[in-house]
Amino acid sequence: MPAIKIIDAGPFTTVQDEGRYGFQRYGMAPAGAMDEVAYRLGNLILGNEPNAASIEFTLKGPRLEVLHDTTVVITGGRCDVGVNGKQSFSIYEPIDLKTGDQIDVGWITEGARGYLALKGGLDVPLVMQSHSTYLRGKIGGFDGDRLKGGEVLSTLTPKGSPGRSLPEEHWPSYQSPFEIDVIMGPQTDYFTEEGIKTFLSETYQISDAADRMGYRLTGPEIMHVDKADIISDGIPLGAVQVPGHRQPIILMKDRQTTGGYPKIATTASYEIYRLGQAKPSDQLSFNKVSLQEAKEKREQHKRWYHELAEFVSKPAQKPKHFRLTVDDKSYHVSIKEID
Amino acid sequence: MSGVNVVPAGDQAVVLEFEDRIDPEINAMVRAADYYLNQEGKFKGLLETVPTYRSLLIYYDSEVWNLEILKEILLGIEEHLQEAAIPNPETLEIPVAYGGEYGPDLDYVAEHNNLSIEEVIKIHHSSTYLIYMLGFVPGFPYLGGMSSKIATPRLKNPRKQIPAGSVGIAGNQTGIYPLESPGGWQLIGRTPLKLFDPSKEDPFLPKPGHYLKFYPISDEEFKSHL
Repeated sequence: MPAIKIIDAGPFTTVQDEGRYGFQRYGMAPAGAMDEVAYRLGNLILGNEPNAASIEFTLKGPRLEVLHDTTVVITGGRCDVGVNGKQSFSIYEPIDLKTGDQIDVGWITEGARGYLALKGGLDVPLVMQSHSTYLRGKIGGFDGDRLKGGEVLSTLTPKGSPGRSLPEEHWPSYQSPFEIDVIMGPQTDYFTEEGIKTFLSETYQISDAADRMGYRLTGPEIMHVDKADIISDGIPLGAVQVPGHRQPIILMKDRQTTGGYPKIATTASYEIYRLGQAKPSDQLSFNKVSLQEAKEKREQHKRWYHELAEFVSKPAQKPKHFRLTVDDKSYHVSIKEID
Repeated sequence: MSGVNVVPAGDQAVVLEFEDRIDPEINAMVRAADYYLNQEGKFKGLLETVPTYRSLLIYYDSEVWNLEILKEILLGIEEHLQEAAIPNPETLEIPVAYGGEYGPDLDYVAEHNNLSIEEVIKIHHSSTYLIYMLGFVPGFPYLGGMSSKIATPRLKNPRKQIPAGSVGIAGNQTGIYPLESPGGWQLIGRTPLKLFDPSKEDPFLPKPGHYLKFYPISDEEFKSHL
């Protein structure tokens, strides 16, 4: 049933889930949440299905009117959340909303993207097995497009049992400068020794040309041995390609599936969620890791995520209420577990 | 000695490379390797493959595979490519209404190559094109085999909006726009077929490694196709 009406969508807001896999061979980017960790935690806090569709907003959140009682949670980039212009809530905290309430999600002060999950998940059609909006393909999400003011979104009937808030000390942090682990290849041999050294030792800045497709970086030039073109091949998630202008471009979730520029390195999988939170003018540097090191860090990352996931999935302890009668006098007593 | 090269592409993907040139025979090996690796139940944990001109990008589940084991299989893949019974590539037939409102640049392509309009149309639909790969936008085929007799440079000023289904020429290549998009190709015609239809169970008409052939239709046939 209709759950929310968008009053103001914010600068760039789409519907996303885990992404659309299996179609890259046909030129279809996977799309999906740029910060998978924050996206998943939102659904776990509300007890949603793992692939439930959420709202992904960029730099600033949306303003919504509630059409039907629901619960939402904001995760990811740090921002202020206001309800009816008076009450304020924190991110990673479930917010119960009543019909007629207005919720206003502010500017992100740390990170680039936030997620607004609704209890039950958004009711948008599955297109090729995913709810994710892929703008270039004009599919998924809400009419294959970004969300706009006036649109009404529905939610599905909730099935799971709700979890609980994540305390601030556990919120993932996304502070610039970012040091990002990369695995060299697949075309490192297209670059001079000096070029590789520059790439691994200098700091790069994310330019304004940064979106769900990828980030153009600016910084010291990375020199090619000879040509800066290859016979077009597949582009893996997080690939760092360097065209003839010698400035790196990192390819993200809405990337073209194939391309003709040499790729000096590829971002380690466990860094993608953090990279998804980097924004224009943030500083990046690259740290070379071996596949063995990447494996250890990936496992460490998974343990960290599972601890968070397990924590927020547990039901919140509701205070227990008792009525005590002592010397003919009645007392209300509530007992609540202290975290 | 193995003629293939295996290079990591991050910690979740690997590239299997054949010789570094654009050649139908090399592309056939890519298609064979793609078919071999994607056989039902053969290699669990290989998630998705992206066949291109001369290489195959393979996404794998790093909980199931480590690169060393995968690399060994890939380095020895050539000897299995003959034994795997690879189905013959199919030829996708694409109807095209040439010229007029559907192909506003047909006159220019003819003029540029000192040909008549009829000759351009005939040359364009006489070739069988190899679909080397798909990319750029969903369903866009990179085709090989266009006659150099109709090669024409791109437009100096790209159009802001090109209708889906437009068939064009850019340099030595011909292609079809699966989606409405901006672009600088010389438009010679349009197909009423949808190359990409997300509502279908099989959303993509062109398949990598298969063939494509154009055939001319009249404007009336175009309209009745829609």
